[in-house]
Amino acid sequence: MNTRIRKRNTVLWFILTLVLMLFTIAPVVWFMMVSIQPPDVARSGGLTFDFTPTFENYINVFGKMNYLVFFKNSAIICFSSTLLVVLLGSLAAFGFTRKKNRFTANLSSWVLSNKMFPPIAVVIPIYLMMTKVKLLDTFAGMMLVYTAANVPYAVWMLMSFFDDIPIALDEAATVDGCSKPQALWHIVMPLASPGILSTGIFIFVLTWSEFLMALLLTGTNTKTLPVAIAAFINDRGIEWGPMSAAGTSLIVPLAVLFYSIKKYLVRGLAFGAVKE
Amino acid sequence: MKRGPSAIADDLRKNRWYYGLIAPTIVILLLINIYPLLYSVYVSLTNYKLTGVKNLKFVGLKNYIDLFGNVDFLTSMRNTLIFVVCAVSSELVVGLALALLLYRLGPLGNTMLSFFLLPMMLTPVIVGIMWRFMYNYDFGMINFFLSKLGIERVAFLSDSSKAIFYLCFVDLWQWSPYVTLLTYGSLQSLPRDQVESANIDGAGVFRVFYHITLPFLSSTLWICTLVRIMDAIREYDKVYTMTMGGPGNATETASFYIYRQAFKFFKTGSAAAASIILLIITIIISNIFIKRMRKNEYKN
Repeated sequence: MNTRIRKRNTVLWFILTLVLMLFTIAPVVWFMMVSIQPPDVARSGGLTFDFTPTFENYINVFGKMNYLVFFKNSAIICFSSTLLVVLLGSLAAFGFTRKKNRFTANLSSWVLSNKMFPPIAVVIPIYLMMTKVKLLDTFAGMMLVYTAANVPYAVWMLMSFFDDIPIALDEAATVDGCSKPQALWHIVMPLASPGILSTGIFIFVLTWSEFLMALLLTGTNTKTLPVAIAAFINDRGIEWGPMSAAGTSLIVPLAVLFYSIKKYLVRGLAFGAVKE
Repeated sequence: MKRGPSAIADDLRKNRWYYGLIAPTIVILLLINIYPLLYSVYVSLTNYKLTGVKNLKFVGLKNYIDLFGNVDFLTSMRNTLIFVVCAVSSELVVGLALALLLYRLGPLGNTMLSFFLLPMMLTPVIVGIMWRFMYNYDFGMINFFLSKLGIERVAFLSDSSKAIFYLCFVDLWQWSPYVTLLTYGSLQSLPRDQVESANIDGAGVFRVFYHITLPFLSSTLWICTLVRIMDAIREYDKVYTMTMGGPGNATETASFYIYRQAFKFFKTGSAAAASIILLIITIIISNIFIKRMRKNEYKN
């Protein structure tokens, strides 16, 4: 093929991709930009570079509006449920990958099917039940709900990691005198630890972003960040400045975590069905 | 192999270590997913109201039958269908096209991919707010550029006939990268020799795509489709932050309808019935998905 045409085409493709990329990131950049604008610039949309950067919106949000409380709530709920999810998920994933028969295959499919249920269908009865057992608006309640919601994801993602560790390895360990729990704890877990860590991060990101359940099941004691931010939208209109400051502070930690597991993202996002 | 209770007991005893590891997960799912759903089925058969009813009674399938005559419910189902079909199909096309584009760019494409992933990691609530911003009539970025180009401003989210499509567009913006990420990953193992020999034989770009690339990506695309359908069918966050179902109920999705019925109008019985209908639809689709997943698993 004519290399000159090919080169020219590549340049054209590159420019097209660049335009698409700008379009993809423009809303995010604008949103973050508004968060460092003086409130009066932000109020009128802030579609301008003509301003002196200020942290006034952040001071507003974290100082006057006490956003640290929501941060703390989100952190408590996300950390505790992620830990529980990863613990339960690793044990189950180990069981599923080391004992493969028709029964466990059906059971693991059933576990995954739990992730398919629309949250709105689960949240109505959970609301009624939690009201009865006084778990509504408590950290323990939210932790349990998020654990059940995310453990299927974790099991499937972890299964893809445990599958990469040859069974021969833990069999050899048992032959050498390790008990089964020891083989799991000393041989398999350390090898799976990168997978376990990235699963944990993935689950954390999911929980951090969850809105519907948090909206209905949390209250004054446990309100999480997404719910607090959505509350900026009210009848009096929207205060763009403080809201974009609150929003930015919510998504920046997510971005860091998300990019840290980029390599393993595909597995998580496809329930372990596609491996790169 | 012998079957029956004794064989099962035998199996349980022999493998109790493995089953014991799986058990806690199963228990928590039964307790916090399955039991509530069964309870919801029960609620859907009663006249339950969140504010409390004097005589709670069993009304049979009345809630379900009423729903099928309820215009608001049917509208919300229609909106959900529009949303799922438009959003998912456009995501597949755009996502795949972008993946091919990045693949064509070689190592440079891999670097650029990272930037495209940005929308995907954003919290849906924030995405909704961000695009409410973008769509704003007075100072939104889109209207800003439209007015610069001399085109009249558009009141995107208050146009009841088109608002749902503008919501789809936001979903497209957020989730095409998902399709891109997965298909781009699969493209790395595309058999190059096949493509090259097809090129030598004079096959054009489209024929190569249709006969080699597309079949090669089919299982990945299949997974993308179903994951995106499952996600789009429960759409709630963006509706809540962008339109609150409005104007009127033009953008009210099934999840949002159920939420309003249950927690704004306190018609718990009816809302539970609607959620069970949504659940059944979801289960049917997810079964296709899981069958496909297991086929993949046996292949590995």
